[in-house]
Amino acid sequence: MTVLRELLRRPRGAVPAAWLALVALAALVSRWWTPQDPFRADPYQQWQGPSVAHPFGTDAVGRDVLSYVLAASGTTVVVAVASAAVAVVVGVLLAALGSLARRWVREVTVVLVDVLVAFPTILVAMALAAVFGGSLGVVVVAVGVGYGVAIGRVGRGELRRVATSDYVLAGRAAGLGAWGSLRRHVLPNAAPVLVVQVSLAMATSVLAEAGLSFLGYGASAATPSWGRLLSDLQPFLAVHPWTVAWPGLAITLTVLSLNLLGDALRDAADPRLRTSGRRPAERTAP
Amino acid sequence: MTLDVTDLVVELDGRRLLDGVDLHVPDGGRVGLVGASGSGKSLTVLAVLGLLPEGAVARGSVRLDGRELLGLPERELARVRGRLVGTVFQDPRSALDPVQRVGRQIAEPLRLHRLAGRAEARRRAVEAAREVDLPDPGTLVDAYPHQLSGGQRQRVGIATALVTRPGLVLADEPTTALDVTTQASVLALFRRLVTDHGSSLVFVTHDLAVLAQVATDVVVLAHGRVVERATVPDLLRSPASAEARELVAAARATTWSAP
Repeated sequence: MTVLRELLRRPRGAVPAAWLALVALAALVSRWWTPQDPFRADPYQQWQGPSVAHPFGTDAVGRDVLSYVLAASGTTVVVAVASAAVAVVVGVLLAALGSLARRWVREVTVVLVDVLVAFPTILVAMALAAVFGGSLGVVVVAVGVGYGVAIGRVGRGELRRVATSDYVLAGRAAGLGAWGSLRRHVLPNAAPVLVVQVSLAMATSVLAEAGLSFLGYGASAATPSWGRLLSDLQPFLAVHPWTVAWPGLAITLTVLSLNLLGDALRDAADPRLRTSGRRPAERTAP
Repeated sequence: MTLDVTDLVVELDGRRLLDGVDLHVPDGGRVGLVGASGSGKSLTVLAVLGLLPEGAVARGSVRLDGRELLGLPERELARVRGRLVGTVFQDPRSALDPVQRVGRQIAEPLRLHRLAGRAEARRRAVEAAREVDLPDPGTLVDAYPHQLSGGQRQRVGIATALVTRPGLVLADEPTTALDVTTQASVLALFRRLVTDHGSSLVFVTHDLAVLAQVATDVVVLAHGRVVERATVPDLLRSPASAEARELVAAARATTWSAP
């Protein structure tokens, strides 16, 4: 709770959190309601500029862009959350095996991670899409595993650093068992670094989904997606900039917010980085 | 509580780091463990706690009030640590968890060993903070370690080690990382508390001037072996081993060079 309060009391945390909350809300509401049917083509309403009826305008077949962007936010949220969940599971598992397990398990894990890290996420996604066909599942698996490996790599060093620290030893000397020590001292101290990685994983998955859908490897035509809309509209950028801008803006703001939120979360989680807050005892002479 | 370490051998990757260490602390006794760096002082402390580095193997005997600790299952050992044996570490800058409030760290041994509920643990943490002369203990327990000075942090470390009133206190160079003036006050406090509680004490140091203030007896280690054991006054007067002579000479040199 302290972390959440710390996060929201500074604009650097509150603004991105607000935007992401808005996206999440849009994702939820658009499952049942959008201003108009996002897929309904209206040949008499092509390329309308922003108006009261169509605040974001209409596209080449007369679909309402606002409704489509709202409906597509659900895809984005599902993909981002699912990818991040996969990434966290894979990453924490690899990090723990690479830092806390027996020596030979650690060494095998480190080599495995170093090999896996060499494969670019987007390439893996394209390879998977080539074999299994484009789907959101492909995006989730590719980004989840790809970022999971990255989290495992960064997390291993962090867990190792924390696990060998004096305060963990002091905790053991106070009577903590191995698991208690992990829960009370190791994870809370390693968490800030992991949180940043998770937010980066979400940001990457939003971009990857948009990019892969743009390339035609991601969402199928029946699934609304910001990347797909961007790719549909992109040829007309010079002619109808106001219509084309929306999906791009949504992607940019969401990715930016995720990155900023990750940084703000790290700062909020670490009492040494909190720029303001209660100071129960000022530094005094010993 | 009595501590009897007999013929303690610690090996790591085929190297013998401790080679037959004997250490006996009578109930309420205060024994110094001295030696140059790498002589095995800290390792002896860790071996008593059963917290040796990964891959290290200990043989011999470590008895606490006659009960053998070596080879005890991890669960049983965890019940001994923090409850019967309190430990103060060397560097207060790194021995406190940076993301936990000070009061929670002091109360940790109480909570772990179910000696107090949440409110009771907090009350006793405040009391322990007052006992180690921390200023404004009621609010200080809500501070984070980085908001405290080095001396204050070491007082927190001492409070944590003593909060359960352990029968044996292990102190691994608790004043080495502090500046000289802080050192003196922390040392005086430490001695007073250990004496007041009637705890037995093993005090690791390489500084004989510090040793003379807290311990009555001393064991000198060199290269993992005990090279001399004596009372502190005897050692200061007539060190027998080459290593002890060196330490005494070093202590004199620093005393004389003081303005």
